Amino acid sequence: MNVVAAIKAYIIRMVEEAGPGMKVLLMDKETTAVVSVAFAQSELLQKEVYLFEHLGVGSRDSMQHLRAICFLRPTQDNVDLLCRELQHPKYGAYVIYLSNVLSQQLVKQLAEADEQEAVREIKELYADYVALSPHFFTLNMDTCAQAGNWSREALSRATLGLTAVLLSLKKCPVIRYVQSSSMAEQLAQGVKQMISKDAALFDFRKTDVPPLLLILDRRDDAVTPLLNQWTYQAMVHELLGIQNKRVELPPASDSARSSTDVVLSADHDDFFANNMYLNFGEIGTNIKQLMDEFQQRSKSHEKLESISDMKAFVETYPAFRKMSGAVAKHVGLVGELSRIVAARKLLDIGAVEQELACQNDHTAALQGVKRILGKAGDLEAAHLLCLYSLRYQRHPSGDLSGLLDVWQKEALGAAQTRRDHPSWQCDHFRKLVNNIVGYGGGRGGEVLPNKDPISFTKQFLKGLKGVENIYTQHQPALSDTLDQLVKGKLRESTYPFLGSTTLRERPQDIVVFVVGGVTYAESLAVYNLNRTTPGVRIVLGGTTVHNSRSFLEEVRKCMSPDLVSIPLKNQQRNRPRLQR
Amino acid sequence: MSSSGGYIGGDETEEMVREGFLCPLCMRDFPSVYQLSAHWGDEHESKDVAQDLKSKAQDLLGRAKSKLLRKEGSCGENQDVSNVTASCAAGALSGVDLWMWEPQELGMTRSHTEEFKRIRAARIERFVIEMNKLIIRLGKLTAFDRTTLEPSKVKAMEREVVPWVSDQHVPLCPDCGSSFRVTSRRHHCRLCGSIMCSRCSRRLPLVLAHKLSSSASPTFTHEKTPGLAESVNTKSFRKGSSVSLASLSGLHEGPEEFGLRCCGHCEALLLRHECKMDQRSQEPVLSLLYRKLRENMKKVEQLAPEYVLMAESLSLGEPTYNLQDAGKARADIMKLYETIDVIGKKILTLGIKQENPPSTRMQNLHKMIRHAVNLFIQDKLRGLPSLPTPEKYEELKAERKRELEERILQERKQLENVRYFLQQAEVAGRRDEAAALCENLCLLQEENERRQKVNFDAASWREAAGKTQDSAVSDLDAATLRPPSLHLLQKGDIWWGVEGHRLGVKNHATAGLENKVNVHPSMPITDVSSNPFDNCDDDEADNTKRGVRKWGEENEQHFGGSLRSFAADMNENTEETQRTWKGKRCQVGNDGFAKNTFGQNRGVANTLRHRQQENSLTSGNPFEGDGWIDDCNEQEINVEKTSKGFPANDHEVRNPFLESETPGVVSLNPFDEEYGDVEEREVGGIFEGSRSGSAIEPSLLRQQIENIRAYLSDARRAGRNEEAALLFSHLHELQLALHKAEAT
Repeated sequence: MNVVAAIKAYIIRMVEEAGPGMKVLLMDKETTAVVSVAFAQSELLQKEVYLFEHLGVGSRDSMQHLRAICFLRPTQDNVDLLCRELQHPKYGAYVIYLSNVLSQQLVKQLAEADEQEAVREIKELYADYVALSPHFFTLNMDTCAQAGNWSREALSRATLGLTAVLLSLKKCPVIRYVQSSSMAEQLAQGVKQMISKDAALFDFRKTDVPPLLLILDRRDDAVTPLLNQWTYQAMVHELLGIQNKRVELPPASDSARSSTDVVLSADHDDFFANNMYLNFGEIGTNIKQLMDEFQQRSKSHEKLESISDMKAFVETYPAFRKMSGAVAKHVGLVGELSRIVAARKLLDIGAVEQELACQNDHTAALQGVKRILGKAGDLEAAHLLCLYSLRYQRHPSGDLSGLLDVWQKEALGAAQTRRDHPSWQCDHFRKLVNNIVGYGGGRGGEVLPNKDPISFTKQFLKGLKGVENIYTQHQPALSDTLDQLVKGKLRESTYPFLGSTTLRERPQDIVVFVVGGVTYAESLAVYNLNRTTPGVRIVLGGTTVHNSRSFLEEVRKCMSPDLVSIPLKNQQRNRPRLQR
Repeated sequence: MSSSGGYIGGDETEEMVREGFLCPLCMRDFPSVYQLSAHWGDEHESKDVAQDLKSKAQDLLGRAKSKLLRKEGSCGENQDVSNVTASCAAGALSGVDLWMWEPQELGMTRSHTEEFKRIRAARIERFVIEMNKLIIRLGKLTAFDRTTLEPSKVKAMEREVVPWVSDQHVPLCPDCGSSFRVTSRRHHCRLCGSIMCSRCSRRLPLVLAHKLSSSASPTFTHEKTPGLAESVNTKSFRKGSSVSLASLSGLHEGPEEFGLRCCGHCEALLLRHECKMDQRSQEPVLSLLYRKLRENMKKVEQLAPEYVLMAESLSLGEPTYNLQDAGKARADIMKLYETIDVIGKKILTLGIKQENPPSTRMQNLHKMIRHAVNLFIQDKLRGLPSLPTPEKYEELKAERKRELEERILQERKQLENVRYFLQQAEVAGRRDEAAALCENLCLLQEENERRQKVNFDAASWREAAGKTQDSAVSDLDAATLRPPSLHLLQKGDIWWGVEGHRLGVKNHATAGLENKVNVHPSMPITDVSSNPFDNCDDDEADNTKRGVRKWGEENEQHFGGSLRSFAADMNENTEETQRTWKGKRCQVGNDGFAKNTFGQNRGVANTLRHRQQENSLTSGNPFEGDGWIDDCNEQEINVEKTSKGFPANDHEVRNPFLESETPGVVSLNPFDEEYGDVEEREVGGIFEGSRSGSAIEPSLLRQQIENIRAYLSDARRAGRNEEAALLFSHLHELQLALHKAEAT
């Protein structure tokens, strides 16, 4: 139940099976993400993979002394490209790995194209998802829903991705889904179909307690992606954005250099591995420690008096360089984060957000939002309004328009300096709020984390005890759901089993998939749950990993009925079709 | 809230907390500690106990951990996230929580290769058959000498090989669709017999035809190649021009004699075949270099772990390995690194200076390989620990010795304590307790024995010899604990009183050995208490014999000392037991000696073997070797001169202890120190005359200078000016040092 290890095992297998000698890795866009997240380039270099090419790129030279490892999704486009490649093979030998189930017809097409007998091996390896942490994966789908329902392509992609997860972990699960979501149900059925269609593939050793696949819907918890996050990884994603473990770090204000790409990988970066789940305050202290340590070490490098000093210097220099890189990266990141937090007054706003999300006091919440709204920037204001309307849309004294008025007034007051069209902005907000309420508040009544009496009591107790950190009060709804699931108390009426099979025991191996995307906050929740509940292994995944920006974009796309095509594969679409 | 409480409560009833004298392995409960220990002795004395214990301990730990964590979790429900994260920081957990999950096996795979090959085979069968047909026909067509024959005859022969399609059946050119007239005549493909117009027809150069047909049948080639060369020559003479036959221009425009007319289809097939042939026959420079590179890397990967083991052991002061050997291993590895580095650089600049430099992608490939080489060197070099200097090594050794002594002393004390308790218990008549203590004692002694064995079996004569007299004393003293334990285990008797008797029994077992010991001339066994160093002084005049003498004396001293303490420790020991011990000890020692010391020095080992044959002495007696060296020392020079591979400086080799002994050195452990010195000189003599540590220094320096240069340019490129300046000054210093080293 470790998705990173599963992907790595697949890739290592690929490289090993290709045999010794110089190798080139031919990939498509999506498999590039899969590989690049799992391995650093230098690691693959040491496994004799020297070139990394996109299959679609036309002008590759002929290098007959290289072996080509093709790692591709089994799409028609890819197969067409591969056929063309095989008709005029540029490399000495080919081993082909498909990241999912390949139809007989495509096998035939490939076989007939291989007139030169260049192919040595053709195999399916189910590395069809991006593994970000051992317990966390994503399918990197930009959007999945259109007018509140699956687009055909997205559904098929999600089904394939999810079955690949199951195959790579060797789990043939019992499936549960959230009853209120038709998207979850469709996906569940899709997975079930795949399993029954390829029953031989899913014929794994039976365990005492069968594994469980739980399919949830983002729409059941629209609050979590809207909140500002305060743990390192989640915060970086919220404020800067992480794409396939890469962060685009804007240039420091004083230098004119362009922004730099930094990699945040727990595998290669000890500091990140130790701090990714810590909160902002703790990161500050740890960064200072790191700096001190670094300074000490750099001091020791300043003076070299004897040959042995120099020898030691040369031997430790690469490690030193690595450390200096890590220090520069994290200092830059944390510096940028604190700059943004200060500039956007996120500490104040974060407090109000948490109060909105966790407390149940409308008047106080309204006061808080009113107080802070004038100070907030557009984005933060949007978050606050969305959160407010999600929580109190049905509240008898809910006052969204009042809030919008406040916003407009403030904005008008500062119009000369700040922005030109506060009224336009207001319209935008109204639309946004409508969207979000339609998306996340659609199923009757308020969105409250505390629906049942038990959690209400909990909430009450918490209120009595006082909170230790007001910025991290909010717990994603997911952690409650999973907690109940682990204890065997998840209601069957809300989360029914698919088909006739049910699970009486407490589940042990659980794959959770969230239609509509997950967040790093939820990854942290699952991480903690995994740590605190022995014997239970939970892997979390989603169609994508959201921050508030990408989430609002998804909401917009999902709620707009006129969206014709999902730009999932538009690049391939624009490319001229190949002749066969 | 209630739910979580119930959960935990339920769990606890499942696992009742048990207390008392539980066996950690099988969880059985015992009424007293003695029964438990007896049970331990009975049940869990197998070899895998240690392993078992380890896993149990891990299990326990894991359980404790999970308990703790669960507790934390149940609180965590009421607390906020920050608390949990804080505890995560406190627990120093990394972000990757792999510890709780079993290792991930390789996921499902499914191969389509079979199916794929089946379809492909069906498809390309046609090609293969066609190709084979073409090659065979080509062979026949090139079999006769067409230069001397009439064109019409050639045509006839060609038609014999391949039947031509008749003209009436083809009204239009099948390729371009133009009709045939007088000006555009029909042409036949000589390979398949089909018809086309002249524009659509191709010419297959004869050279190529020969090459292709020869590939099919190698014997055919041999006969035909001279003919081909001849025909080429005659043709070029006749034409009076120097047209390159291989050039492709000749393919289409050349006169008829230059090629076989064929259709485009056949030509394409044949050209593709040729392409494949070429790839098979010639290997680009890059692959050659690359192969060499990988070979060297593999060697490093083999050697490096061995060296790391050596260096670690040496830096702990263990005498298992030899400092010089480690130095040599390091030099070897360094040399390999240099080779790898050179090849890497060669690959990087491959073909750049040629007229048409390789494409950018090719250069990219070269760059990546170079990068990988750099990574490899950095990675492995960083893991390469440096060796202690000889002086430092001595210090380390001394330190280790002290530690060992301390440990042994401690253990001895422990044993004494147990014995004391046992005696008391016996006196007081507490039989249960006595039995238990007895078992304990057994265990302790077993442990001791095991360690002794390890000490000896690990071929560490040097270790044994490396101990000072004192340590040897205590060592042997510890070893004396072995017989009782054996005894106890064998007979299950009360051991204390009958120990002497048992030792006597033991002596019978080693009687043969003992006899030999007695026979041995150079070993004055009876003179146990004599000071070996006095002997040393007496013999000082005889330089050739002295070292060997000393070696024997060392043994004697060693064991004499040990025996003294042995005697002190166990009053009942007889002379016989002393001899037994001595014999045993020396045997082990000698074995180790031969393996370790002389095994490394081929010269001496050879002589030893040689002489062993000459003297035809049985090797059962460990002392024989010594005495025999002593006896035959005079012959040694001759032997050495006759056997090959010996250094000219036989003086040193002949007697390693010869020069090492200066009158001043009467240290506690003469053998070890002197031996080390001599060995160093020996190695020098054998390999390079005066090779020492400083000889490899310049090359190392040069490499480091290279490294620093690389860093420097890197730093400059990245604009890290301060770092560059620092590096520059380092570079300067290093260069100065290098000059100095070279000057000396």
